[in-house]
Amino acid sequence: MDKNTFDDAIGEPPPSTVRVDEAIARGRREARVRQMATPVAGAVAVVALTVGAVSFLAPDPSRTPSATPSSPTAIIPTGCPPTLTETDREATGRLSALARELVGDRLPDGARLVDGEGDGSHEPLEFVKTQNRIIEWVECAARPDEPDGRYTTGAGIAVAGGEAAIEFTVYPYQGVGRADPCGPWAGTDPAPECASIAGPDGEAVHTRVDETANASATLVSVIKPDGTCLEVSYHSPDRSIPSPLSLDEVVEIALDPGMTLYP
Amino acid sequence: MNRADEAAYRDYVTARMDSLRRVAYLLCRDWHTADDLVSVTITKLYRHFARVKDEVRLDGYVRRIMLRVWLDERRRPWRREQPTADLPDVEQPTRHEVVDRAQVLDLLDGLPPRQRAAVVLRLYCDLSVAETAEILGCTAGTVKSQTARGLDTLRARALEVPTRSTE
Repeated sequence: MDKNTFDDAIGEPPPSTVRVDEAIARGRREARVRQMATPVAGAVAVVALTVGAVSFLAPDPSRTPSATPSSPTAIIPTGCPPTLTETDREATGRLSALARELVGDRLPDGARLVDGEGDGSHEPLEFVKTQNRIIEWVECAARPDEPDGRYTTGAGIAVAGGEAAIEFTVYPYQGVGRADPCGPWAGTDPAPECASIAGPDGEAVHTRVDETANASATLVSVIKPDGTCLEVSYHSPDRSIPSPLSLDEVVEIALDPGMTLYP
Repeated sequence: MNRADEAAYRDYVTARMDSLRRVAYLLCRDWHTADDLVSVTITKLYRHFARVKDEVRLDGYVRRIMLRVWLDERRRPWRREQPTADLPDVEQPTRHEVVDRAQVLDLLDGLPPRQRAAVVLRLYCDLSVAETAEILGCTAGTVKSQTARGLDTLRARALEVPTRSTE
């Protein structure tokens, strides 16, 4: 038994679904997040943004549906997410058009979207499907082998004197895990500003704002009653430049009813 | 990462893609999972590429990432393997059984994760005991014993599998 035995057994591999551009885009995103905090807190933030966002938003299994203290009440779906009814092409096309409209409508005069995902291969805010069944996200325990990927996009926002960045991640809410909303970032200095509210249609909304002397980062996570989980992160590397989007505007974008996997 | 490093990263990953996918497939035995494993591996590599790009043993570094990702994944509750009874003592076969392609992979799939990893690294990737030990994070002696046990198990199970030639 040697290498040839195994190569013969493997046969001709099917076409690859590995996307190097998407790996680079994810790596860039992580690098930007790491710039936001101290080296120790930065490592925690990366883990939190990639893994913790799902778990901290999930309900206590002993309380379903769970609710935030505010009114109206947030409705957090339980169990496995519904099956997607759109093709990837349909979903990414619809979400891309909507994201551009929602962000574009809120940009101040002179600001414009630049640089999409990948090495210039995608337009600003052009959603792409990423496969990540393993490692990065908690899977639905009852349906572990379903390829629930996610849709992601990003863009730079060029303003006079600098550039901010906005990123979207949309995926089916998996309904497992729970944690303290700001728990994954414990130890960050300065401490982030965290808030949990319920949206007008029962969405569970968590916001987190990190600010250092020079930069600021905002993460808005929304679980919608229909089973859509949406994250919008917004990063401004230079606080001396007026931010083109406010936290309230990022929340509005995330809460738009069209931002869903189940239209 | 600057543009030159990113270009080097792209070139490296593209050149190694087929090899990485094949190793991942031998570990996962499923092309979709193998591609996911490669995706996660190269994403993690991106994070450190500027620091490790000039390493002589960059291939080993990447394999170590892949092995750790895969072993971590195997520890997830829904993928956890069921414990089996102790393997029976089987005499060393004195003849080579002919098993077909699918059976080779089935036999490999039946090995515990670390034994499978040791066999894949030693036999398929043609790594030395020391290189395999470094990637698996264990001693050379453990690699030898894991590989030997893995091969013994493969041989023993090959004897139990009805071969094409005898059907």
